[in-house]
Amino acid sequence: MFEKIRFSLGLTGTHGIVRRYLVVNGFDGALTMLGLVVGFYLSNTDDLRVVIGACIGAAVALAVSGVSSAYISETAEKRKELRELEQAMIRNLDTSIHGRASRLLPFFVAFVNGMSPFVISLLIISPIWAAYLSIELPLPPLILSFLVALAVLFFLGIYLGRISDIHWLWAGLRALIVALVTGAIIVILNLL
Amino acid sequence: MAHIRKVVCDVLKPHRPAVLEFAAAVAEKCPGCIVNLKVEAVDQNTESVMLRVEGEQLDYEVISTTIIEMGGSIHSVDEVEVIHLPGADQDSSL
Repeated sequence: MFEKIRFSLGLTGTHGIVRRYLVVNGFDGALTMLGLVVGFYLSNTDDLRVVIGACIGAAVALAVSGVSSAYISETAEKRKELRELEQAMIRNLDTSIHGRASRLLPFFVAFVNGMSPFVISLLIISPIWAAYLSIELPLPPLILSFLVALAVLFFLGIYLGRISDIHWLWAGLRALIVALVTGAIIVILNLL
Repeated sequence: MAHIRKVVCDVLKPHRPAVLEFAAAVAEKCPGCIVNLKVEAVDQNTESVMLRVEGEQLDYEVISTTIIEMGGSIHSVDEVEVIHLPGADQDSSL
């Protein structure tokens, strides 16, 4: 199955799109969780159940949004590409590897687009979960979640830097600046 | 009994899979054969290639099915080489 997906990705040149979806929606997930965590910290919320519930709700919404939007757009895009290729080939390609790839890839792209923010969100709220399960942590759970979110965004930045051949430190710092600016905006809005 | 030893086809194929993958896919379906693929013309979305397959006992049906499955279409069969082996009690592979 994995080999089939890899071949289909190569055949249709979809590697870049999957990578973009992975990073862009992962970034969305990380920033959303960072915003929620900062918001809960500023409102002095003690009830971890509420925090987990809100974060899981947001994570599920991001996942469903990611899956549905990517599936709809990729199905349309792949169908269009297939029809264009069929016109060039003057034959129906439904039974060819191109036809199979155009049916399989929207599912894969949608899965990546949905799972990326979901998994990243779960990773970010894992300290809150741990605290809720009475596992001892070196720092308060919201602070720890905030730090995990910064780390995730830093690594996403590094990953993007590797793709675009930018120095890893600068790429990571750039993503970190975006995260800190987001946090700062939330803090300022809370002070108003 | 007749065996196909060589088939040369004029094939129109999309750019992907690339010629190497295309030739390898055909070769995988005909063990022991030699596949030679030469690009004749390149268009915006397609390319015309001359596919030459040589082997001891080729199955044209398998070759054409593989070409179609890889997104190609056979425009013409330009050259064949068929050998007749008298005395063998198997069916013709044609």
